[in-house]
Amino acid sequence: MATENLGRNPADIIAGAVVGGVGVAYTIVALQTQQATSSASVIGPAVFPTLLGVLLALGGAAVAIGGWRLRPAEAKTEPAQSGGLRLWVTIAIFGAYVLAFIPVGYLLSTIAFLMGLATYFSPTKWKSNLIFAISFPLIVFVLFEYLLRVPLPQGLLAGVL
Amino acid sequence: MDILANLADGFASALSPINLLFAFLGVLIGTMVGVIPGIGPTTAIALLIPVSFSLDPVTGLILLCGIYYGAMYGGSITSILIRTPGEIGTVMSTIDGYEMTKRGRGGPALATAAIGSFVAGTLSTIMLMLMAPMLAAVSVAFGSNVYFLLLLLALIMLSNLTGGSRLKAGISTLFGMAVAMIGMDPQAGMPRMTLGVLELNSGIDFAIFAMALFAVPEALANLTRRHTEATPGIGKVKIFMSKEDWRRSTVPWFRGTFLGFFVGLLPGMGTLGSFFSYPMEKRLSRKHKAEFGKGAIEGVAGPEAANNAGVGGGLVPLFTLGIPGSPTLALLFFVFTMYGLQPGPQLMSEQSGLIWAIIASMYIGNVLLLVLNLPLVGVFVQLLKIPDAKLYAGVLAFVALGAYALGFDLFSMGTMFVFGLVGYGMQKYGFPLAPAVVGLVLAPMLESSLRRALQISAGDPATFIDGPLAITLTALIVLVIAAPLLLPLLRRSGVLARGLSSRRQVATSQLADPSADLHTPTGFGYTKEPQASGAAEQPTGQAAAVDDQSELQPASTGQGADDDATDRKADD
Repeated sequence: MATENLGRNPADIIAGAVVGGVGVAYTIVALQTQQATSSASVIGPAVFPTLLGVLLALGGAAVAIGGWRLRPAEAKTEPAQSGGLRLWVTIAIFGAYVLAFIPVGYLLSTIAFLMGLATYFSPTKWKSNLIFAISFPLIVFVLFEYLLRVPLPQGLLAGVL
Repeated sequence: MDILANLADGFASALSPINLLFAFLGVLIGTMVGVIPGIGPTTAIALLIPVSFSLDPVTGLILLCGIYYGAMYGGSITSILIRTPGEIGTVMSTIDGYEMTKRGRGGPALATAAIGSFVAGTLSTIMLMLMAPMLAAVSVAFGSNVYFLLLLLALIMLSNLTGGSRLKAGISTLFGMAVAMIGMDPQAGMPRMTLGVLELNSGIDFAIFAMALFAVPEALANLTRRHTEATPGIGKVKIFMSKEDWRRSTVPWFRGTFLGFFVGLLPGMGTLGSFFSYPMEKRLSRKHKAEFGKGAIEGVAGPEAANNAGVGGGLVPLFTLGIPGSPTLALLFFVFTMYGLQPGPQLMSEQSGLIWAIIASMYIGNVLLLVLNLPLVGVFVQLLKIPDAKLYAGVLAFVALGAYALGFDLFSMGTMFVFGLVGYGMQKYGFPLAPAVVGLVLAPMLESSLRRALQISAGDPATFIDGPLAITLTALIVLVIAAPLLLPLLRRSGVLARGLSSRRQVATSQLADPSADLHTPTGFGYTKEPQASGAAEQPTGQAAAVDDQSELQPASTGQGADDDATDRKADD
């Protein structure tokens, strides 16, 4: 019986359900853990994970129940607003970068990634974007390859570098 | 005399050209990263762990410790100049520090913070030096049962104190512990929770998890925020303290140092000394009480010293018991294990050369910090002018690079990506992130000490109340769990007298339920707020905890605060 001032907290219901679901799934996987062949130990490999899974499930349920209970509207937890489309585009660009990192190579993929993101967020400043997108990976590349001697993937530039 | 001889050896090692260079680089990089809004010491270290990989243990640890101090001072710079603390320890400096900046005294505020940090760093290192060997000697005698109880207490304290909503902080801790279970079970020697994925047999890399959780959500949130302008310019910052400033700062530096060190000794209290220092300075001030909240230099000097002294304090249980008292120390703990060193009672005796080199490097780091920061503060501030899009795109690129350097394969990078998104979701729904990282670090130790304790006692749980130390710890654990549940009931039934001063309320509210995950900077819920020197942005959860007026109030504008209120009710 929601009045104007009372409301449920959908964010907490969703979050609680997700945590609860993860907890249940985790418990199921934990219970399938093979028991140690040597039964010398009092606590086998499945005990601790099972306990954690159960506690997670209970915690998730508590959050969801808390969100389900009617409470004054101002106490609601609304997930903070941060642009939906921008978020998905950023995640997609980042995901593509992660996938391209090794096959394309550090330098080219990073230049493309930084240029892509910088152009997406400030399309008019292409000159400064370009300088940034090229100088940042170059400095890091030199630092890692030559100073720290950590080899970075060369990808398409293999043989050139 | 042993201590002096050890220290001399430590200095000989720390002063070698290569170690000196990396201490300098650490302090420099740390300060630069710490100045980036929303990135505190924890994220700075997480980001730079891969860089330390190719170095030998002493050099690598000296670099990371330098980053730690540097990032802490970087956080002070942003707290004082633009009222944006990077982490919980510098929240208190935003009150009078920012007020001093508004009154054109940002320079002296930064100077008192730097010198206070130097005093605190130096003195707390001396205290660490004196206390650590003693505690290490005592702790060798601890049994597995006591060790388990100590770890459990640290874990509960950490998730209680660092999180937003207590329930959600607990879930976050459990999440980290659950992730820690993935991989080979060290005792049974068989994989668990891997779902048959071979790559998971070696477990989830701690550094990848920490980087993903700390840096990715912050970068995503800042990038996708509506506006992406640069922070308004600060102008030239001149460092100059008057005689009066010196006179008024000196005693608070020393008071803050001792307070911060001893608070830092307690597991889970980490760098919270500043929260005790500020009210104490205000209470003890006779002549300038009215100035607090309007730019009293004592309000910067005390908390800054306390914050830095907490590092030395926190290192005592880390070196001697192997118990990290804060998420940042949890990262350092991980770095030790990465180099094949196990922090704990044996470390002080087996690796004393390394420990003393680190302790010596702390003295050096503190001197470098002072030399570097006083003249260069204007340069660091320029970093604030880099537009968000470039800054955080660079952070993402660096995280991807770090994940690659940790495993040299797509799997490591994919793990980072997935946990980054999970972290973003967690933060968005009000789950603090720092407890997850602490849970990941402590879970394996907790499990193995539990197993050992029960093995020794042949499964008898009475081992946890065997002996005065075990009984005390068990009682403390029960108290820590029960107190937050019982206090509201007692208060409601009138058992507890009211009349706490508003300042004390602030301290407890900040400690017991900080409005947001203060160890991990939040990029969510930014609000614009008109300010005297132009509209600067600030994370509501942290900086809004500090009112423009002198009195602090429990933050209620941040999302986390709402959560907390909600959960407190749910707890009732």
